Amino acid sequence: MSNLTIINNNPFVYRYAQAYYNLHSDLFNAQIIQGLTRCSIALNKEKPYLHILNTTLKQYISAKIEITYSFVQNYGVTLPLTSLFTLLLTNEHFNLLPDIFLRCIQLYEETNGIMRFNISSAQPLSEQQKATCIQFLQHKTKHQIDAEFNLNQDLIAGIKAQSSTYLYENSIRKKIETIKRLIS
Amino acid sequence: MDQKHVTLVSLFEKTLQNIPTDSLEEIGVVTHIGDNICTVQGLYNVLLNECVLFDGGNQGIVFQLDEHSVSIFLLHNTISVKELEVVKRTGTLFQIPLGKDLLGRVINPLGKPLDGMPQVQIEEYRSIESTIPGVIERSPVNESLETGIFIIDTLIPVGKGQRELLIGNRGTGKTTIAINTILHQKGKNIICIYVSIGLRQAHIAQMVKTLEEHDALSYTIIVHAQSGQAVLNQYLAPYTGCTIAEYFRDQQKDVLIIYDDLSNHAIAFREMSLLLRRAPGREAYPGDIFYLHSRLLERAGKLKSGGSVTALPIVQIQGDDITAYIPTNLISITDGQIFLDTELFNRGIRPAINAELSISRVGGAAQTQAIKKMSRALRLELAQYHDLAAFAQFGTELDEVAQQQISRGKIIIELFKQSEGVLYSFVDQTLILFLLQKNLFAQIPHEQITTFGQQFVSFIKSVYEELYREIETTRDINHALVEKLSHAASEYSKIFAYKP
Repeated sequence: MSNLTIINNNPFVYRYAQAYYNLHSDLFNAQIIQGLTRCSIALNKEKPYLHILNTTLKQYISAKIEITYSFVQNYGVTLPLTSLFTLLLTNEHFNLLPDIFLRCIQLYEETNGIMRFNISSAQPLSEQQKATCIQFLQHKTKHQIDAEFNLNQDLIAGIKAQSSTYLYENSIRKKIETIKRLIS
Repeated sequence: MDQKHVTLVSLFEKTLQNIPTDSLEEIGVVTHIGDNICTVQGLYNVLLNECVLFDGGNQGIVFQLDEHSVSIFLLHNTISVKELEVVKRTGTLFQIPLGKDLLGRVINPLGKPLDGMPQVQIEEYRSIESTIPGVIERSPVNESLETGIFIIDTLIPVGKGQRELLIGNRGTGKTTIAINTILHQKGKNIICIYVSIGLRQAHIAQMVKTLEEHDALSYTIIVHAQSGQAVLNQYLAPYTGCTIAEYFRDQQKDVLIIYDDLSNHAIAFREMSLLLRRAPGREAYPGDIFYLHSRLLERAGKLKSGGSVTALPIVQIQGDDITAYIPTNLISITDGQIFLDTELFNRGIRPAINAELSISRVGGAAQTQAIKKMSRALRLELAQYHDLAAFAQFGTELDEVAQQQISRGKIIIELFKQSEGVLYSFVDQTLILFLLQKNLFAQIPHEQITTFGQQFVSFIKSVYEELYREIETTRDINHALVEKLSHAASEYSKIFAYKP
C-alpha cells in the first residue's frame, strides 16, 4: 500500500470503520491486515461496480452480500462482514467499502503502534543498512516500523523515509535545495 | 564508472557536512484543493493559525482543524498546488518581517514590498496575533492627537491611544479625513500606518503621490491588500498593520493607524468562513465576526511604559443606515464615532460631519486646554441651532433671541467648512474660536466668514508672532492672553473692515 494512501473524507467512512473495528478488533492480525490491504486495492479498481451495486437491484441484497463476501474471501479476509455489508447496502454507502477497509487498517496500526514507511534510496541498501534505517525510525517515532524499500536516483545520495504523517529526508538533493533557498 | 560516482558523492557529502541534519518532519498530504483552500490529511499535531509549507513553494495558514483533516488557506494564488502534494509544518504562527526601514514603504500583508524598491532591512519577526495589553499596563488617554480638521479637534477630539470610528456612506469623505490627518502629523513625531483593504491600486498610487507631494511619506507606511489577490491577504492586512504599529509603539513612539475599510475586511472574513463551511449567522457573517474586530481594535491604546497606538477604523454603510450589523459592532467596540452624512455632503458642507451623531467618549480629557476653553458650549449652540432651524422651516415667526441663535449656528457651520488640503493647527483653531467667542463674525458677510478667520490667523502669525508662539508653547490661553488677543482682534477688524 502506498504511503500516500488517501481515505475518502466522508465522515461515514470513519464512523463505519470505527464501529466495526470496535466490535471485531480482537479478530484483526497481521495476516488479516495483509489481506485487507490487497482487497482494498482490488476493490478500488472495482469502484464503478460498487456504485452499481449500491444503487440498483435493491431486492437482491442477500445476493450482493454473497458475491462480495466470496470476492473478499479470495484475499484471505475471514472477518464477519455480513452485518457490515447489509448496513452499507441498506444505507446506500456500499461504494465506501474500500475506504472503510483502509480506515480499519489504519485503526489497527494506530492501536498496535505500527507505522508504515516508504524508504527511498539512491542506491540499493544492504540488509544491515535496512535494519539501521528501521532502527533509526523506530527510535524517532517510538512506533513499530513496517517498511517498504525502493530506489530513487533523484536523491543523488542518502535516504528519504516517508509515511502518511512523517517525513525524514537526509539526501544530497534536499541539502542542495536547502542551500538554494538560503542563497535566494 | 561506479568508482567515480562514489567519489563524487563522497565529495558532496564532505562539502555539505556542516549543513544541519534534518529531523523528522511532520507532514500531510493535499486531498482537495479549490477556492484557495486546501484540505490536507495528516498534520495531526498542527496548531491553529500555524504557517505550513507546500512542496511546490506555496505557503498557507491553518484555519480549521477537523477530526480527520485540516483546512489551509493559501497565501499565494499564483503558485499552484497539486493533489497529493506534501505539506510540512513550520511550528510557528504566521510572522511578518519588521524594521525601521518600513517607514516610507508600500508593502503587502506578507511584508513584501510593492513599491519596486528592495526588501527592507529585517530587524525582527513578529506574529500577527499578539497578547492585548492589560488594564494595568495602560495609561489614560489624556494627550491630544490633532487631526487638523476644525470640527473634529473642536467637537469630537481624538486622543493618543483612542479608537475613533469613521463611519459614512460611499463617497462622503472618510478617506479624505484619514489622509488629511496623516498630512497633519508632519513634524509631530507620529508614525502613520495606512492599511488598505480591498481598495483599488489606482487609489493607492494616487495616495502615495499625495503623500510624497506633502512630504508625508517619510513617516508613513502603507499596507495594501488588493481586491484581486487571495482573500486571505485582505483578512491579514489589518493584523499586519497593527503588528507594525506595535513594533514602533514598543520603541516608545506614538503611532496612528487607519484601517480603510473594515467593512471590506468583514466581507473577506465572511467569504473565508463560508468557504470553510462554517455555520453562517446574521447577514451570513460567521459567529465570531465581532471577535475579528474586537481583538484587532483592543490592541490600540496608550501604555504606561510609553508609546501609543491610535486607531481610526473606517466603515462604509449603505444608505446612511448606521444600525446595520458591522457598523453597530464597531460602534460598540470603539471609543466614539465620526459620522459623515450624505445629505450634508450634497449640500456642500464638507467635511460632512454630523456633529449630533458624532461623539468622542474620551472628550475634553484629550483636548488641548486652549481649544477646550474656547469651545465651551459650542456643541450646545450647534444643537440649539439645529432644533431652531427645523422649527423655522414651518415658517413660524421667531423672536430676536432665536434669530440670533440661528444666525450664530450658521456662522459656526460656515466656519467648520474646510477645503481638502487645508489644515489648521490647534493654535489656528484657538484663534478662530476666539473670534467666534467675541462674536466678531456677526457683521461679516456669510461667504467671507472663512476668509476672515484665516486672514486673522495670518495677521497674528505675522504681526503678533509672540502671541502665536505663546499659545503654541503653553497650549493654553489665560486672561492676559485673552486681553492681548482682544486688542489684536479690534486692530484687525479696523484694518480689514468689510463694507456690506
